[in-house]
Parts: sequence; C-alpha cells; structure tokens
Amino acid sequence: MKVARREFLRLGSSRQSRERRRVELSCERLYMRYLDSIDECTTADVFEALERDLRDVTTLRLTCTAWLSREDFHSWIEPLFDSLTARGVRVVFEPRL
Amino acid sequence: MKPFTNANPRDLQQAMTLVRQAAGSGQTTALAGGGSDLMALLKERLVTPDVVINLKAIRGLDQITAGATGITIGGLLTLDTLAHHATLRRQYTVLAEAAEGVATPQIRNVGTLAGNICQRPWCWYFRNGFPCLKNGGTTCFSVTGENQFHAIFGGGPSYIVHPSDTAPALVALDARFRLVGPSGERIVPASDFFVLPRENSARENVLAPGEVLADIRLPRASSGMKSTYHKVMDREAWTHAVVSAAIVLEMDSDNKDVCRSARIVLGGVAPIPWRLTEVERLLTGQRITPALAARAAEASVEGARPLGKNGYKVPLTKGVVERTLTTLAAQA
Repeated sequence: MKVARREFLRLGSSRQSRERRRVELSCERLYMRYLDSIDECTTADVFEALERDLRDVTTLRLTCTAWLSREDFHSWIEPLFDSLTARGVRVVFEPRL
Repeated sequence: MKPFTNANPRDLQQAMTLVRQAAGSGQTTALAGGGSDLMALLKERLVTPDVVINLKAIRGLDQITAGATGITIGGLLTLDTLAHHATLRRQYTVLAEAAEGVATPQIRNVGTLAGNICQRPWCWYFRNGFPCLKNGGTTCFSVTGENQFHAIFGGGPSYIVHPSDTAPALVALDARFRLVGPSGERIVPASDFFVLPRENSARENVLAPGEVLADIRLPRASSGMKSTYHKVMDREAWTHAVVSAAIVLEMDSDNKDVCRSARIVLGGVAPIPWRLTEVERLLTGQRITPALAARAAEASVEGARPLGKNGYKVPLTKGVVERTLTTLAAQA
C-alpha cells in the first residue's frame, strides 16, 4: 500500500484524509452555537473560524436543514455557502435528516 | 382500484431492473414518487399497472446539492421543502414561489418536484374517463364542450393545459432534467421536455415508458438575476392556475434598471409551459417602464386562439404579464 509522507507523519491514511474532506454539519447544532455567539458578540468570529475549518473540505453535507429557514441565521451562513461553492465544494442539503 | 404489487427498490438501478423484469413478463408498471397524482389516477382506473414501483425508498433523490456550476435538486424533494429552502428562495425565487402556490399544505408535504412536473392533465374529460385523446380515444371533447379552463395557445388536436406551477418556473430558469430509464440516462433541457399535442396527443412530455425524472439542474444564479411567479386561480387555494407567469430578469451589472435578458413563461394557457420569446426580445436592453410593460402585455397574447368559453383568458393573460413585470422591475 502506498502511503504519502505527510499522511505517514500524521499517522493517518489516504482514506482517512479523504474522509476528513467530506464533512457533515448539523444545522441545528450550528444554530445553537450561533445563538450563543449573539450573547457573546462573537458571531463574526464563529463564522470565520468555521470557514477556516472547512478550508480543505470537498463535500459539506448539511443535516437538520430546516434550521436554515431562520432569516437572521441564514444571512450569516449563506455567504459561507457561496464562498464554498465558488471554490468547487459540493454543499449537500439533506432534507430528511 | 385494480390490485397491484408494490415494489420498494433501494436505488434507481434496481428500480430500472424492476421495470425491465416487469416488461419482460408482460406486466405494466407505474413509478410513484409522492403518489398524490398517481393515486388519483389509480382510483379512477385511468392507469391500471400490475406493479407500482415506489421511488420514495430511494435515498439521495430528495437532496439539494449546490456546486460551482449551479444547484441540483433531487426529483423526490417535496414541494414544501422546496418552497421553504432559504437558499433557493433567495437565488431562485420564481421556483420557490411556484412551489409555494401548489395545491394545499397537505399535498405540498407529500408531493414531489418531479411529480409536479410530470403530473397528468386535470381536464375534466380526461379525469372522468371520457374516451378522449389522453385516454386513448380520437376526440378532444373540450373543443365544443366545457372549455372554460382550456388552452388559448398551442392547442390542437388536444386543448388541455399543462397543470404544473413549477414547470413554467423551471423553463424560465433554463433548467435541465436528468432522465433515467431502463436503457440509460440522458439530460434534456426543460424547454424540450414538454411536447405539444400535435407532436404527441396522448402524452405531455418526452418521458419514455419506465423513465423517471431523477433530478433537476439549475444554472448558477447571477447577482443581477431577479425572478418571480404570479398565479391567478378561480379560488383562493387547492387548484391550478387559470393563468400564471414565471418571469426571470437578468439586470445589467452597471445599470441596474436595464434588463440585459428576460425569460417569460406562462402557465395555465397552453398544453406546455408557454414561452413568450417575442416579449423577451422586446424587453432585452430596455429599462422596464410602465409603458414598456403595457406593450409587453399586448405582445404576450399575440397568436392566442381562445375557444368558445375561455376568451376571458386573453385579457387576464395581459393583466398578469403587465402586473408581474411591473412588480418585479420595481424590486431592488
């Protein structure tokens, strides 16, 4: 089996690396974090950190998407989706979950 | 209702295998998404399949996927989810508004986007089992009969109107449909998906037997795009459009009052979503003023051929086009 040097040093595998690039994000949990950030006045920081965390992602799978219907929340998350899709990331909305 | 076997395939490939197997053994099949239209057809014995293939069990066909080139909407996405999806609502307003106007909340909760696009006509002669063109006969009874809600454009030999609200929106958005069938898959532009009765008087679209509308692809929305859907009904809810208009305007990036291009598609007036290409040309490169909207309204009914009892649709169409265009142009 071929192992990339970087993966070897990280004690990871290519498969783990690929899986890291497919991320699942619960909109419900993110919404709760967003509510906390309003009290803490850190909303911009939270979304900047989230964008940084999603830097290497190729597919972002969103669950509990009904939470996106809150307009104030959506106004924060939509620019993030736009930026991700412009970079070629697939953003998958899972209505059933 | 005729008894039938229910099959729950786990994916589209298995669904197509079921179609092939049934055909091989001389059985007929029907594909069910939400089932709201199919169940009515089954109860009235307008379709009598031996096997109903339930697509709802297939995972992934109800997803929305956003990518660099646009958005893909799974055919099994419910109309309610579509109507309330925040991203779609902002970027593709015309589609969300069209979905929101379909039938009732209960139907929107189970009805799917693909089902809404592929539903059979609601002409009372067809639905009540008359031996009309849609039921395998040789006559369209609406020509000399009760034609209050029938076509003023594109009619003959059948004068049904296409009942879908989402179809005009998708043609206006220049969507493409991915069709999957027993012999493979193909991509068809929404504008080529629907067929006039003079091409095929028995069917309303190009779907082959056993073929399913798997997903709908929308091009990436530009920042200058704005759109809306306006539907006129003969009552407040739970009915189809008497006349509707789906309008998508692409505004100039430098001069935001000037329309760079337009796509206008009517519903409820023709056997297919009826595109007004001449009106679109009239608007291209122009500032949309009330005077231009009035000219567009006049042009929108050129070529209309009303039947005995649906002449009221001509002034109604003009009114819908003028009002929708004026309202959309005034939006920031």
